Amino acid sequence: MAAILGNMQVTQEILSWLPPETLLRFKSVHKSWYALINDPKFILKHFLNSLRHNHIFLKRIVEIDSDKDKTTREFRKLPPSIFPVCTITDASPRPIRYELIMHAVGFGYDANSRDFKVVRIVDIVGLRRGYPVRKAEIYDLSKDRWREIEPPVRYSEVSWMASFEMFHEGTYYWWSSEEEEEFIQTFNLSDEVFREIPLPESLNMDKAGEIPLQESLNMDEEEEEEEEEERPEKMWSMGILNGSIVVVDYMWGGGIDEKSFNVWEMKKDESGVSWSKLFTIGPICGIEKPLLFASSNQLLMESNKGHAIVYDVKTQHVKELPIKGKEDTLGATFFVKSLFSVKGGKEIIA
Amino acid sequence: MRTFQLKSSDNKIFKVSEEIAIQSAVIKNFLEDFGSDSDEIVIPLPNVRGRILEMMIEWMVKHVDEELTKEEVEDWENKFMNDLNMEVTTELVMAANYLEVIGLLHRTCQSIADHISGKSPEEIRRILNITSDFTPEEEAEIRRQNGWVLNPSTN
Repeated sequence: MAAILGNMQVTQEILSWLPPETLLRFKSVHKSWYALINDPKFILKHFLNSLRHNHIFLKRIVEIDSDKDKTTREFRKLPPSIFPVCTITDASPRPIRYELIMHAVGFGYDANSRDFKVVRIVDIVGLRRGYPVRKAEIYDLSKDRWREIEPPVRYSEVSWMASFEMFHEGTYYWWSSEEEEEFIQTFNLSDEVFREIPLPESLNMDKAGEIPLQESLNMDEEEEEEEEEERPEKMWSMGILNGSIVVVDYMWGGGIDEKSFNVWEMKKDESGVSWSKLFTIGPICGIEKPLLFASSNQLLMESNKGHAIVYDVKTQHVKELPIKGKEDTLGATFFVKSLFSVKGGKEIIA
Repeated sequence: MRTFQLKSSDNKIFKVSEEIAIQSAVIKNFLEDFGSDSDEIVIPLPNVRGRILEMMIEWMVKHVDEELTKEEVEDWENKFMNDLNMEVTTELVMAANYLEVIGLLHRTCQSIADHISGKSPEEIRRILNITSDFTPEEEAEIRRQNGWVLNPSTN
């Protein structure tokens, strides 16, 4: 194996397949390795190779006594927003305070500009008067600053629940709603334009169907609230399966334990977006919610006791993983390990 | 379909079709420069011994077989890699790099990366016969900078 050392090109090729933790350790092997592992060109090559190996990031809430279990050692604050969050003296003699409310945030890698970007939609709220103003801004890691971009057309609400946002092939997706209509808000990190994807028609139709039912319940407020808790609701989550965007619908709450999950696949052609039902999982007991498709036939889900479980779509076998959080707090997303570092934001919170 | 011959460093001759051989960027360029239609072309490969060249051709043949599905090719690749020891893998890396067979280069480099991934810098130096050119102080400083990765359980 000593033969490969003489060939820096081969050494670089081999090192580009190693995990970042190993590479940080290997910086002390030799000065030539130190220089290589710090080289921005190598960091990019390594990142592009790493894209083939997705890791799953599981988020959970647990109760701990000390901060011994902390896994993330370091946070860096990005620079402040470009929008004013300060006291502005208007024409009026009294100062007007503005507040910034973060509405949605997305993060991903843009292959065109070869840069990481953070996008966020914010509402600027004048505390004393007026309606909130919606703005959007984007942060480029290489430039370490924010700049303003055109906000989404519609003034929608974004769901903050698990499996309601994701990044896939240069685009960020948020589950959004405006009044009674639900849709997927997208943001393309390359052309920096917000767009919308309509959901399967049955979703918004089912919702509309609920309204007369609610009105027919002629009860006082207290009883109605009780009734609302009891009634199962239609829930959705969003994901990627075999490279396609999918949504999963199921009934949740109302004391039902047996659930069926319908998986819908999105297709895109010249005439627009269409959805078709791929398959149904279940009925199956003990499931809280789907999290993400870990592979073409493995669906990661949360059990109703807060355990992460893997469901095999082909064999219908359920495997419980040794990961548990507080009930209904699990969230999952794909991530890629890289050597890129956040240069900006001097403030480090350890 | 043109066929021609590849000659290894130990003078073994392999007959291959153009379709298979042009997976090597170097052979592809060679054939483009050599505009002849003759089957008599012999391409000498003085840096690759017969056993290694035979394995490379086996790899390239599998990767033009249109009857195999993507999964079948992947399964075959895994089996091919599992049967190799590190010495042969290293030889394949050097040969794939020399002939620019990118798929094979990536796969063999990944295999070596997996093999060395868990090793310490000292072990890496011993395996690759490298002498450290850092002073002890410099080395301590690099380790200090990356302390959170090196000792995840402490701190």
